[in-house]
Amino acid sequence: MQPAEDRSASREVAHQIPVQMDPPRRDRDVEPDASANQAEYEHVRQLLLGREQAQIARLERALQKRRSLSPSEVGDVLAQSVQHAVRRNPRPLADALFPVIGPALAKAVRSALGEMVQSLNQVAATSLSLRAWSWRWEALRTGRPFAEVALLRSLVFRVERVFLVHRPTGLLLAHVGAAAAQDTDLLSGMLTAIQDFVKDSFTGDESSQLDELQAGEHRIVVEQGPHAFVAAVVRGIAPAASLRELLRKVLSTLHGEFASDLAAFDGDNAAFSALLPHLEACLIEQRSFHPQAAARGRWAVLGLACLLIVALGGLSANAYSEHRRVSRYLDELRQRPGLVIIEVRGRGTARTVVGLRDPLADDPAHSPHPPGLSFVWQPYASLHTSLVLARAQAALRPPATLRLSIEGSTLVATGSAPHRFLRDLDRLGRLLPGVHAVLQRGVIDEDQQAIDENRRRMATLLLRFQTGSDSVGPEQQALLDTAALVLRRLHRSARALGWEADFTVVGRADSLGTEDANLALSQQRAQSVVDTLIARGIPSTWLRPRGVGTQAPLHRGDDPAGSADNRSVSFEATLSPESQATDQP
Amino acid sequence: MMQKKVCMLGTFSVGKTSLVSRYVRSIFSERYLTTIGVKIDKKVVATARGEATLLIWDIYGDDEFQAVRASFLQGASGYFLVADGTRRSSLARLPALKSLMEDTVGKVPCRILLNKVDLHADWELGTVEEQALAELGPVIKTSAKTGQGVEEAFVQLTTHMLGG
Repeated sequence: MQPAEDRSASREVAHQIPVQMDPPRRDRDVEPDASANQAEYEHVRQLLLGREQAQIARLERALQKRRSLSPSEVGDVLAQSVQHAVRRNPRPLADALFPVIGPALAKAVRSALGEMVQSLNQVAATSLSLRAWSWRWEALRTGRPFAEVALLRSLVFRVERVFLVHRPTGLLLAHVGAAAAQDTDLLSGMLTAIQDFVKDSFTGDESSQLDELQAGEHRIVVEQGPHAFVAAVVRGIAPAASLRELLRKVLSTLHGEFASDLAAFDGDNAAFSALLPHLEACLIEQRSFHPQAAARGRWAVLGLACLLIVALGGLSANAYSEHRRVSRYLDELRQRPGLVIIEVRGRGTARTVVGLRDPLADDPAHSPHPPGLSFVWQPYASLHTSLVLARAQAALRPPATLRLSIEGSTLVATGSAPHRFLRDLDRLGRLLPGVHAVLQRGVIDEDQQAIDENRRRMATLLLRFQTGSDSVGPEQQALLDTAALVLRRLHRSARALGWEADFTVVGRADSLGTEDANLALSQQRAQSVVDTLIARGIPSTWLRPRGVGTQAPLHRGDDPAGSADNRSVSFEATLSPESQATDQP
Repeated sequence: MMQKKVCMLGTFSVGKTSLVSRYVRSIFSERYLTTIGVKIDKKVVATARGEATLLIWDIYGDDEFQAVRASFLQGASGYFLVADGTRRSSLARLPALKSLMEDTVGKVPCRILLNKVDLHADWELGTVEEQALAELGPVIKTSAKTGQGVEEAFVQLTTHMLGG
């Protein structure tokens, strides 16, 4: 309050002075050369302006004193003006200071971490293990404190993606990491919206911002800058301090080197692709101990292992690597369907694996395995899809034309198969463990298909005769061969369906001659075809000759072509249930 | 490619969400609309002035129960105000939404979408109302159902944004 009052008082004085000083200056302009009157003039001036002159002198002294401000005075004003600015709107000041404060903070964090590492160092120094030795070696090689190495190597994580997002618009400035790159812009927008949402809903405070999101095994670490934020998608537990330091570095670069691009950003992010190397630097990862050690150089680990052998005087390097080999093998075995490992008995080189094995799963004893390992299996039925299918294949033995598959607990058949197989499929399939239903999806019954096909073929068979003749001409021999084949096939397919097939051999005559003569001729024609078929090995019991004379002509009228068709023998098949056929011999 | 943030504003059930859902790439569930109040979709629009990727912030309704979050409007390069031609009441809040938008991001390109133009029988708007709408900005009649006017609306707004 005090300084403000002072200031306003002096402003008032300064404002009055020019008004009162004007007249004398004008006097001097009117009479510049009157030196004789100088003393008189001074006297008048003294009378008129004495008080004001004293005031001017005082002000001049004050001004001269003010020209060189002391640091303490400036300090007072500066502190107050900063306080005032922060109270009104802290943002511009924070923006201005960010590039300076960011690195400074990082440095402070680093040194704090360093101190923590120092104390951990002393604790960890006493620990003795193979792992500890390899860390010790790494610390020796890299010159970092042992505890820092131990801490870092104990974490397993991977930074999978890094987004750099323009804060006000939520538009993506740059992105590195895993695929699905086309949706990164949607994700960055949503990340921005979520931050706004959290800020509005829970805090309403500009300074408290969302800096971490957890989604399953993914964590999204967000580092805020004045005009942009970086979000790193992390799997596992990352060392927060060092990751954030990397992210801050990106933000510092962006707000420093790219400040003008950032201010002019209108949606075109091409300029920011120069930041990609900085973002890529954030894609850090730490794998678990084993692969890391292998990658870091087997020799170093082997050397350490040897040192340990000497120190502990027992465990050999071979035994150690053998141990790892065996445990890797057992892990692989546990993944195989149809095997359940219950326990591993014994130690060292001779070990017995005890467990359950589905007889359809390959016996590990019969395939390459670490020496010294033996197996004791009890049989069991695995309900793993692959084994249910294998069991179905083994039990049902489907023909090559039928494909089996498992959908859930349904055995699905597609393709084609003989009738007998399909008849049993439903019943037998459901008896298999793990199969609750059987579905024939468009399956073709091969026997039914064969019957239909051969019946169609039979209908086309027509043996023609010369006028008045009942002897089968030599040109008809090939047709008779075909007829014999068709009859056999039909008979066999009918059998498969549980039916007995017999065949009526129908003889016909054309309309020339008397009815009686034609009937006799047609009977003779049928009989002679039956005889030739019997000669071809067709059982006589299958065949029934029948003459119909002119009663059932294939063509009405007596044109030459029609008459030729009517002088003929054709075939008809009759299917009857098997039991009846056998009952009536 | 050029990216632009675009907001869609309008009162409940004017068909904002259906208006975009058929024409955009979306990976987020519509549940986000009611939970965090916004759903973000993406659409690539080709215009005579070049192509642009629009990130469309479909902002959850506006009524006495839930106000539009001003923070969701920040940084938008353009916006749509959506009204339902079959409900006169859906026009009432548009001037307020427009001034909220202008207070937050200033004067940026805008189109007024008069939706549900396919429902002629239920049309409630007369020439007076349509003229009042035209004072807010260029009006485009759209139908989420038939797709009428939707593509044109995106192209017009994008062209305007790229030109400015």
